[in-house]
Amino acid sequence: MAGIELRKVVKNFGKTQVIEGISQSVPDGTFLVIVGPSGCGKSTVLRLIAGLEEVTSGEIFIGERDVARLEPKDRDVAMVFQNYALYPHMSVRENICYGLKVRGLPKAEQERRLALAADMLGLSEYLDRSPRQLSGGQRQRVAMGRAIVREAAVFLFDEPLSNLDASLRNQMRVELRRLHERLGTTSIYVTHDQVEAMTLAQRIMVMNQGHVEQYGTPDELYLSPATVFTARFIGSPNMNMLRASLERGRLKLPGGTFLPPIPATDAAFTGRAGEILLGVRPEDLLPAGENAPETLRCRVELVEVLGADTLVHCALPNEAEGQEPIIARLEGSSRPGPGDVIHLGIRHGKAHLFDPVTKKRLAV
Amino acid sequence: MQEKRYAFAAPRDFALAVCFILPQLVVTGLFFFYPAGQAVLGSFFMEDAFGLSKEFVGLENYRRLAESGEYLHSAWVSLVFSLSTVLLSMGLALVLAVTADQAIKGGKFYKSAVIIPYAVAPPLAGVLWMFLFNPSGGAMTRILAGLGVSWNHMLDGDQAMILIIIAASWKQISYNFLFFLAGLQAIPKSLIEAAAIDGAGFWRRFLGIVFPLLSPTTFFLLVVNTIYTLFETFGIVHAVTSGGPAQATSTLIYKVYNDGFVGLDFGGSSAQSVVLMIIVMALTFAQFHFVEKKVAYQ
Repeated sequence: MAGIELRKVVKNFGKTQVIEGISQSVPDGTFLVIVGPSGCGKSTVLRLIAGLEEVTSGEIFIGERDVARLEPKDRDVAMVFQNYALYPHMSVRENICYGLKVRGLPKAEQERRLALAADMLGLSEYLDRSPRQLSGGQRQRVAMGRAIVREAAVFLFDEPLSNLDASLRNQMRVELRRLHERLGTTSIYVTHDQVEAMTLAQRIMVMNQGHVEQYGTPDELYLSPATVFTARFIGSPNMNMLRASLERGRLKLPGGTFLPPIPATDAAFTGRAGEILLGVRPEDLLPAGENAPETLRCRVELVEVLGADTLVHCALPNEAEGQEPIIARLEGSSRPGPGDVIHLGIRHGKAHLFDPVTKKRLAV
Repeated sequence: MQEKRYAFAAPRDFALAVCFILPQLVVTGLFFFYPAGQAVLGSFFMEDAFGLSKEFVGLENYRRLAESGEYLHSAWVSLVFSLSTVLLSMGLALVLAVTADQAIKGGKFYKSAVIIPYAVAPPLAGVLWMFLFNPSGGAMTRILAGLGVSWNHMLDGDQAMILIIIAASWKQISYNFLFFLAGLQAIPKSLIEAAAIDGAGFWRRFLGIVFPLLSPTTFFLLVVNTIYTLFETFGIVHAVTSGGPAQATSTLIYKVYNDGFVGLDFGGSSAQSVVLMIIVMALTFAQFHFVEKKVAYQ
C-alpha cells in the first residue's frame, strides 16, 4: 500500500490543455473520490495515474516512486472499468486470475487469492461461468475481484457503478465501502454523481474544466464550499444562489429586505460594498412568521413531496428583473400549495457568501 | 395481443411481391442454377470431341477422376497454392491491420494505400506481377539476379507457383486487411487497457486477448479466402502461367477450364466442377454453422 502524490501534472491533447497542473496528495489508505461534470478531466486524471495516458509534464508518485513514465503494468495499480472490461472468452476464474497468471504467480497462490476474493464477493458459485452468463451486478463483482486478487498498492475505479440500476447501485456502494474498510487499500474513485461522492469518500476532489476546485472531506465541502462551483455541485437540490448587495455592512436581499448585521470583526467585509453572491442550502431556509423582519417573501410555484420532507420551489421577487427561483426543503408537515405566499428565514450562520467576480468564498 | 398479420393478405399482394423478386430470381436462375444444373447433368455423360453425340455413362467420369494421376496432381497443386495464398495473405493482412490500428498519425493514408490493390481485377494483378518478374528484363528478375537467384518462372515450376501465390495474395491482402481492421476496432479498448494494467505486454495481449477475440473474423476470412483461391484465381493463373510449366500451376479450377474448353472433355470437366461445387458447399456450410455457434463471443 502507498499514498499517491500528483506534482504539477499537466496533460494536453493536441493543443488543448485538459489538465492544468494539478498538485495534490492522497494519504495512504484513503478513499478519494474525484467528482465533477462530464468533460472536467476527472477520468483523465485517473488514466494518467493508471498509465493509460502519458503525462505532458509533471510527476506522479505512488509511494516513493515516480511512476509518471512507467508502463501501466509496472505501476502496481489495479483498475475497475465502467464497462467492467471482462475478457469475454474467459471464465470468471480465468478473468480474475489473468493478472496473476501473466505475472507468473505460482498456481497455489493464485488459487488462494481467488478463493479469498470469490468468497468476499460472493462469486464462489460462478467461477466457471462466462461473463455473458452473469448479471450486471455480478460482472461488476468479477471486475472488482480481478482488482482485489492483484493486491496492488492502489485501486482505481472509473465510474464503476454507472451501468447498474439504482437499487443495485446503492447496494454496491455499501459493498465498496465495506471492501475498503476491510482491505484499506488507497483508492481513487471517479464519478459524476455527487451523492456517490459524498457517501463513499473520505476525501473528495471536485474538478472543473481541468483544475481542482476544492479538495477536502465531504463535510468540509458541504459545510464550507470554497467556490460557487463546489457550492452548487455538491448537495441536492443545488444550493440557492441569490444576488445580494452589501450596504453599510449589512446584506440587502433582492426584494429589499436586509439580513441581520454581519459581525464587524470579519475582515473580508470591511470597506466592502456592492454586489455579493449569497448561497443558502434548501434545508437552511426556515418558515418564518408573516410579520417577522428580515425574511424572504416568496410565492410558491411547485411543491415536491418526498415524504420525510417537502421541496418547495418558489419565486423570489427581485428589484431589477422580476424574480429569482429559490428552493426550500421544509419538513413534511408544513406543506404550502402553489400560489401561496410564504416567508422564509435563513438559519443562523448558514449563509455562504461569495465574491461575484472571482466566485470564491468570502470568509463567514 | 394483436393478431399476427401476414405480409401477403391478398393474392394481389402476392403477385406484386413476386414481381419485385422476379428479376433477382431470373438472374440467379439463368446464371447460377441453369449452368450448375448443366454441369451436374453433363458430368454423367461422355461426349465426342466434335460435340455431335453424347452417351450416358453414369459415374464413369467421376471414377476416371479418382484414378487420374493428373487430377490428383492438380488437387495437390491446388492445396499448396490455396494454403500458401491463404496463409500469406491473411498473415500479412493481420500484421498490416494491427499496425494500422495502432497508427495515430497518417492512419488514413496508410489505410487507403493498403486498400487500393483490391480495386485491381485479378488478371490485371497477374499481368502486373508477370511484368515485374518477366524472365527477360523484369525489375524483380534483375534484382533477384543481383542477389544470385536466377528467376525464370516459365521454366521452373516452383518459381511459377511462388509467382502466382504472390500475385493472388497481393490482391487479397487488401480485402483481409479491411476485415481484420474492422475486427480489431470492434474490440473494446478497455479490454486491452485492462490487460495492460493486469501486466500483459504487447505480445501477451495479442495472443491472449486480441487474437481469440478476432477468431470470428479469422474464421470467416479463412473460408472466404479458400473459396477465392479455389475459384477467382483462375484469371491470375491464366494470365501468368497458363497452368504451366508442365502442369506445375494447374489448379483445380484451371484444369476445369483446360480440360473442358481446350481438351474438349466436357463430361470430365463437368465432373470436376461438380467436385469443386461440393467443396464450396461444404465450406459455406461450415462457415454458417461454426461462425454462428462456436466462435462468436458477443
